[in-house]
This record gives sequence, C-alpha cells and structure tokens, in this order.
Amino acid sequence: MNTNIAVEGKTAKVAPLPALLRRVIQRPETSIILVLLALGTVLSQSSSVFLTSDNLFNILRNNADIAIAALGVTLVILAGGIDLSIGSTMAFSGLIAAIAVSLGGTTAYQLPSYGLPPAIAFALGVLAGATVGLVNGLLVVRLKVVPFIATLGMLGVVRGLVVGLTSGQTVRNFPPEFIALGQGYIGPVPLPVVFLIVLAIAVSIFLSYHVWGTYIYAIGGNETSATLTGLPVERVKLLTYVLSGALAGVGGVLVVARLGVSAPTQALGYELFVIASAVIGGVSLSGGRGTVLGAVLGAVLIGVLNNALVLLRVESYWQQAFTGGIILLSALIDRLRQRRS
Amino acid sequence: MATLLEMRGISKRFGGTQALDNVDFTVDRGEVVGLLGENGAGKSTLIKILAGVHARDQGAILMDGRPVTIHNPQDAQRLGVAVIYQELNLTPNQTVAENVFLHHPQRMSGLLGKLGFADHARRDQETRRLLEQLGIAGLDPRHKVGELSVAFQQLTEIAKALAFDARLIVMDEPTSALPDEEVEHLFEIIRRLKARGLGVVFVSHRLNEVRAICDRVVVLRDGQNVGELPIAEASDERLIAMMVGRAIENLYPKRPAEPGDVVLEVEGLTRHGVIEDISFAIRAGEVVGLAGLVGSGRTEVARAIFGADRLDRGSIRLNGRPVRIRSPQDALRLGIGYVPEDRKVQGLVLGMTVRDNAALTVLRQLARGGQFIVWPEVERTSQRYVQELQVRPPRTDLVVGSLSGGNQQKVVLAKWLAANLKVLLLDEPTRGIDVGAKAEIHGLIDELAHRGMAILLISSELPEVLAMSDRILVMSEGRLAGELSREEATQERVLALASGKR
Repeated sequence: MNTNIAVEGKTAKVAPLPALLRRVIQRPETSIILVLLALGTVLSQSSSVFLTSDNLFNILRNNADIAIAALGVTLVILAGGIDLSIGSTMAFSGLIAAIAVSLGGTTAYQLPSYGLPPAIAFALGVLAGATVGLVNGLLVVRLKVVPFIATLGMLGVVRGLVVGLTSGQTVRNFPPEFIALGQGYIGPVPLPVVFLIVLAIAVSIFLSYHVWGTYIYAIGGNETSATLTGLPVERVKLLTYVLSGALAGVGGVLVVARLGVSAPTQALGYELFVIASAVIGGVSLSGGRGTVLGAVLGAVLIGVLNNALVLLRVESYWQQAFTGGIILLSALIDRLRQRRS
Repeated sequence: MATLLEMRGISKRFGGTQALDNVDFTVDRGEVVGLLGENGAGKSTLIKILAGVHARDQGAILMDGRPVTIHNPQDAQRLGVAVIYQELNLTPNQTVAENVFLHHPQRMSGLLGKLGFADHARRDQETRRLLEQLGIAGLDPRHKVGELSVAFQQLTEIAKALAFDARLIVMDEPTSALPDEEVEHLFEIIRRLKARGLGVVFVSHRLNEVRAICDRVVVLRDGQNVGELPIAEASDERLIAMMVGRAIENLYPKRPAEPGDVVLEVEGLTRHGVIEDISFAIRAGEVVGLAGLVGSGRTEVARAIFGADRLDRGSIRLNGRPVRIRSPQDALRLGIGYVPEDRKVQGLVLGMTVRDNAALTVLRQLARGGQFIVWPEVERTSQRYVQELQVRPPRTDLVVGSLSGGNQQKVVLAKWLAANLKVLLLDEPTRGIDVGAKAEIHGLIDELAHRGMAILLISSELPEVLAMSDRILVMSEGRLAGELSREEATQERVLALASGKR
C-alpha cells in the first residue's frame, strides 16, 4: 500500500512524505507521545505543580512497578496469551520479600520474619513471582487451559494465599536499605525508575535480538504455523509466563519497598492498569504485534492521567473509571488500526 | 437466451491500484460462464462487487435488463445472487443444517412459527434433501461443520446457496478442495441448475474443468476484460496466453529422475481410525505422488511423518537409521519439512515480514551462539531465497499477507529450502495458485529432486500428480490401495484405486 501511495504521489491528496517520517507517524508509540505532550501542555497551564521535576519523577516512581509488570505481560500478550494474575502475583512476591527481610516484632499477630539481607529478600520475591508464572504457564501449555481462565483462577488462588498466609495482617518494620529500593535515588532519578529503564532495555533487546523474541512474535501471529514450522512453541509460551511472573515479582517487591509495608490488599486490581499499559501502548490483544517502548509509554500515560486527576482535584474514587475508559478507548484505536492495515 | 446479469463498464480502485478498469461481464439464463485470470487480475473484486461486499466506482449492474443497486450482501441475496467464496463462510460450531439454513430458518407452522420459532426437524430434513440433490448421502446434517474436512465444508456451502433459491450462483474456485470424483458430482449439480434456467459463474484455475462445464469463458488480466471465447475455441494455449499475456512453454517441467539411496522409509504407520498400516519408501531425487480422495488420509500420512500428529504404531527410518519423531521440532532437526495444505492458516505468519517468515526455520543457526540474531545475516539468507524463488516483488521487508497466493507459497517454500532438508512433504503445493506461479513451483519441485531431495507430493489435482511424480501411491480409506509407476499411471487407474475398485 505504501509504495502505491508513493508511486501515485501526483494524484494523492496528501503530499508524499519521506518513507521514514511516514513510518514514524504510523507507529502507535508516536500517538502516545503526542497525547502525552498535549496532556502535559494542558496540565502545565492549569496546575503550577505539574511541570516540576519533583512531580514528574514522582509520577514515574509511583508507576514504575506497573510499568515493570507491563513489560512481562507484554511478552505474554505478544505470544497470544494473557495474564490476569499480575496483581495477585505482585502482592505475593511483595509478601515473600517482606517476610524475608522484615525485622519483625511490631504487629500484634506475629508473622514469621527472617531479617535476611535485602538483596536476598528481593531475589526470593522475584522467585516467588516466577513460580506463580510457571504454574500459569504449565496450566496453559501442559493442561491446555485457556490462558484467560488459567490466570483468572490463579488471580484468585494467589490472592487467597496472600490473605491466608497473613490472616489479613500487614508485614512491616524493614531495614532502611530495603526501603531505599523503593524510595532512594541515583542522582535525581528514583531507584524504581532506574530498575524500569534497565529492565525495559533488557526486554527490548531480548525481543529484537534473541531468537526467542522472534519466536514470540511468530507464535502470537499464528500459533498453528509456528508449530508446523518446528518452533519450540510450548517452551516459548511457558517462558513468557515465567518472565511475566518474575517481572510482576520485581514490581511487587518495589511496591512494598516504596510503601514500607506489605498489605494483603496490595496491588489489588493492578492487572487492569498493567494490561491497559500494554494495550494503550499498541500491544495487540490478538497477539503478534506491539513493542516494549509502547507498553512503557502506556504506563506513563496512565500515571500522568492519574496524576492529573489528583492535581485537578478529582476524587480518587473516580480513577478506576477513568482507567477503564482509557482501556476501551485504546482497544477502539487498536481496532481502527487493524482495519486500516 | 435472455440475459440474466449484465455488468457494464465496472471500475474499481483501491488506493493506488486500479483493480477493475471498465469491465463488461454478462451471464445468460441457463448459462455457465467461466471467469479466468491470474491472481490479482480482478476476478475477486468483480465477484465482490456483485455480492455487495465492495462498492463499484463506476459502471452499472442490470438484472433481467433492469438496473439494480447492490449496496450490501443482503441486497445481493434479495436479488437472488449467491456467492460461494473460496474462503468458506461457515460457522464451525454449528451443524451442517444450521449453516445451510442460517439466513432463512425453517419456521414452525402456526403461531409459534409466526413468533419466529424454528422447526429443527424440518430444517434437518430439508438439508438432507438438498445434500441428496448434491449427491452426498453420507453427510449427516447434524454433524458439526468444524469437524468436517475442507471438501465437505465446501459442499455445505453449496447446499447453503441452493437453500436460498438463488438465480445466479457464483462459485469462486469451488473445486480447489475437491477430489475428481466429487468434482464430477458438482458438475452434475451445475448442469441441473443450468437446466432450471439458473446462471452460474465458475471461477477456476483448472482449465480442463472450465472446459468440461462452461459454455463460455471470460478472461481478466490486470483489471481488464481481455476477451472471451466460446468454449469450443478455448484451447489451453489460447487461454493461458490470454491470462498471462505471454505463452507458457511447459506447465509441468519434469525431468526423468535419477533415484539414489533410500532416504525415507516408513513402515506400518497407523493412527487408529485415520490411517492404517502405511508403508513406503522414497529415494533421494525421487518425487513420489500421494493420490486419493479427500479424506482418504493423505494429509494425515504427511502430518504423522512430520510429527504433527501422534502415531499409534509404526516406525520411520531416515537414511537407514530408525528415528523417533514426536514433534515438528524433531522433524525439522532431522531435515524433514512440511508444506501444509492451507498456507494462510498453517504455513505462514501473515502479519510478519517475508524476511522473518523465510528465516524462521534457521533463525537459530543464523544466530550468534544460537541465541542472538544477527539481522544482516538473516536478511542475506532470506534475500537469497527470495531471488532464487523469484518472489515478486523481490523485497524482504513486505508483510507476507500483502503478497499474492503464489508468492506467499514461494515464501513457505523458501522457509523450508533454507532449512537444508533431506525430505520435503508437499501438501497441495499449488492449490489456488495462478498458472504462471504454478509452473514455477513445478519447476522448483523438479529442481529440488534433482539436487537429491526426497519429495512426497500430495495433490488433488490428478494432472499435477501424474505429470510431476516418478511413482504414485494411491490411498483409499486410510490405507494404501496401490502403487503405480510413472508409466502405468493414468487418471482412470488412479481413480479406480482411490475409490476402492481394483
């Protein structure tokens, strides 16, 4: 189609653009950046706080965990699956890390606390997330449960596990080095944002340059064909769920570190924001299309919108409705994009 | 004969492409008109305008001499135009009968019927009657469509068109999935429709079929009507020259084989209820044809060898050594490739580029340490096969879905050539592909055999199997019914074996 327009440049109503520029404009990432810029302009007019570096870094820090989890769910969605258990996985990982690192002794109900070094606690949290992902993956790949149902079930099971293990109690009293993971800075950049940047680059490289990255796109694009081409379809799908669980685990530990507490209701409903980030960023729910950059930008957009609602003094009770609306809007845009191509 | 349909000066443009340019097309009552042309010539566009899927830019459509407007498929149906597409239009989870009467349910008598309640018993009975008209008594109207073979699904589509009393039936490649025996059934039906005064448009790439059933042939090329011939004057050479715009020297370029050692040897392959006790061998440089009716288990044999389906019994030897193939991954590792019968659903990732599709089988080999892709290397490899197979346009950055059928199939073949195979299993490699590309793919099959590959060729098109194979195995009801040498094989003998007569 592109070439035709170029050839027919004389008759086309729009003047022909250079191919590179046209390709940039057609990317879903570009439209998010434009929306972000427009939103930023409006907000900086109506609130003096918005365009301060403190506020901007705050938005990024508070949404880094969602963005990191979105990296993982992007992998799953690209391979044609879905992971609804993200929020529960985040809470579970956070709890495991919290129990591992907690110095104990502050709550009436004595939960176990081991006072392990923060790094080991972090690793255990991520491992817990990866384990949830592994179970998701095995349900989908080995037992052939539909991803939606498998991960919906795990959403309930894992959340139940968190509530059951803690009897509804919170875990707190962490060493300052652990808190720093969520609240510290490198230079002016909050640590969670550093984690996000490093992980986003890693996942991006994995998708573009690792053999399995291309397999993921192929499987999401046409699983039957990928199977009949002799690709290791089951192992690749399993890996996407494990990575999704692990990245949700990273996000979950960061939430606990940032808030200084692990509560059984933590990250409740986060799957909504996480999946929305990916979809808004142009990751197609039918699989095979989308990028890491898009998913991260999607998370940023959700963060900015939530921030805007606060700055514009919209009651926080309305935030979820807004986010849901954005998901529907982005799904609509996804449809339009598909119809055009 | 009175004119039933007249399309006058039809033009249609998609973006920068002139799909149809001032095309005239008429069908008389009781006439069967063949519509020929290579892929992309504009046949589908013309049909879709008639069906109300696309709107014409210019031109007029007349039925019985009166101008009509067709804005959507409902308009077309109301005017009695039925279109049976190549990509079938069925709901797989519903039964045959439900599909046949999807658009005009058989209502119950009395009040309940007026309220919209359907009479399922009558629907099933009516469907059975229609199926009997089509000469297929073996198909249960209560069978789920998704569980049927492509051939039976196509027959369901035809029954569906008959069910709404159409006056003009357009069939887009209706025989591409049918074995010869059922093609004859279809022709019977077409003759009966014709006798009743219906008009039929028959779109096909198979010239012998067009000659067998059509009264007149219209040829499109590059969106223009390049001429029409009464059937008596329509020789293969003339038709091909009109379609391609040049003469094609040889549709079946086949050189005599020089068979080497046995490469693939299968013994007692059995998958209960599907294939029974299949044994044969293929030598290096040999093309072995696998013929049989649709549903006789040909595809299943290929899938079993390729590890796509589980075997209940049987052994496979490769170069004399026993091998276990439990998945397509195993097959690929051993150097066995499979070109599936449905390239869009099974053969390609349509949304990915030519480059990615062509290199998918060898991505690991091209990667540094088997892990990290060196994209320039991938580009070089796919570029090489794009050139060798003459994929048009010769670009690796295009999305595969945007190519024509013939070129898509070349990309499937490229993918397997890149993998450096010993054995290639081809399942309907030229289905729905235009004549020019077909000749090229035949040439490629011959070339691969000459390079020493062992090739299994499954095809419903008997002339293709007869012309391209060194030996022909014939299947019937899941078993090997016989083997014919190239010299012994004739259409009659293959058909006799395929239908279980000896």
